Amino acid sequence: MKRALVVIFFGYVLLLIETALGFPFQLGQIRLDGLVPLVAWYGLQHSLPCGILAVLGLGILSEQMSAMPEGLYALAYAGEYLMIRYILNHIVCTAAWQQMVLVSFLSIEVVAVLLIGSGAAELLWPWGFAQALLNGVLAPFWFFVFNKANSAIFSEDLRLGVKKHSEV
Amino acid sequence: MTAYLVLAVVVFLIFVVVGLRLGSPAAVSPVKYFFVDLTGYLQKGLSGPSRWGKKLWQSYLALQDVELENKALRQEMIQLQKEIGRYREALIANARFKRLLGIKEKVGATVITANVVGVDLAPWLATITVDQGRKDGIKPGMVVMSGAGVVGQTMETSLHFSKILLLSDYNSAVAALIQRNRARGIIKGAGKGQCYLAYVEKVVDVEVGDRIITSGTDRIFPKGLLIGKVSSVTESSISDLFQEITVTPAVDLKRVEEVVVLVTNQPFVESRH
Repeated sequence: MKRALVVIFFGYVLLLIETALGFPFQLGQIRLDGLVPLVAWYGLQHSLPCGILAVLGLGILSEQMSAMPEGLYALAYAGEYLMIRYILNHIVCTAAWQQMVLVSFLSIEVVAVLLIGSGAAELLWPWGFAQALLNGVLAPFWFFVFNKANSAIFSEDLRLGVKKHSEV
Repeated sequence: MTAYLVLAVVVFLIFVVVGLRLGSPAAVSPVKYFFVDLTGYLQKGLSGPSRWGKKLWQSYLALQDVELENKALRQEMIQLQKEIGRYREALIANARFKRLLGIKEKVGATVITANVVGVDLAPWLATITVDQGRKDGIKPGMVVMSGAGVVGQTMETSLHFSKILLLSDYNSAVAALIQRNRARGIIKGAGKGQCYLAYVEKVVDVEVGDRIITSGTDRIFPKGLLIGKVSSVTESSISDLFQEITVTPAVDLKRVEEVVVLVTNQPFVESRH
């Protein structure tokens, strides 16, 4: 539960930064997006059912900062999470290039749901694919940040002897 | 006896000296000049290093002073640059506020000034968040303007913040007319900070640079507010009934920092989705 709250907190911080800094971080119809890599990173480590609750929480939070139709972000992120859980046993995601490929692949799903759901399907090419590519390229950086932040937050638990999370 | 002798020598010397001073100087001049020269050289020899040391010391002190002065001047320069920056910012803000004040006088309605605090998470949606909400009297469906013209309309309001649907959003539609020939159309968002004027028949004469204003028929925007200028006109295909008219909003919607909300009691005419 604590980990679910932490990932929601990470997501909230990212959302705040992305919306407050706004236009300087947007190029055309794409932007620096940390949310998709966050869901991917979380999905690699946390199983159902608790995992999906956190992801739905992230989706609901995202909706508060956008004019998207209600439920679309939750649907997109839940889809991404379920996809990663489904393919989890068949993938290895330790190298940077593997993280890039995985996040790019998942981003296509997220971007497609968001664009089609908001009535802007014509932006899927080239902007949607460009966004997916950008998310993939930046994925190793985001994974590094999330790992560091996660270990910083949970290092105290480890010191106190709290059992390490091992649902995967 | 010795005392008398010493006294005698002293008196003699006094007389010698006085006698030499009162007598012809030529007799003592060479000795005197030699002495003066010798002393001069010695003085020069001694004063050189001392002058050099003195100069060095003074230079050192001066350098220290210069360094301190430099530091002080640098700090002063930084302060002045900051101050210039603040003044410049204040000057720009002043110009913006004057324009906003102009809107209040022009429209004659109560206005609320608000600062932009956030943009939409999805880059293809053109909505912004401002720091005034229900508490300040803002409701959904109110007109939002900036110095140069219409920005959009309020969409959702919380107690302290409001979301604004910009003109350039794909879901935005505003009843408009071409100021020059009064031809009517609908301004729709085209994304990327641009709009297009829809439903203008091919027979209507439209020129690049024509001003587009609100027509007031949508019961949201008062008549006569500047929306933007025509940036391109295309005839489109033969089967199409209407022209393709691109409009550049009068306000740079991607850089808007402050807006004014016109407080009216009109209802929100059409829902967003």
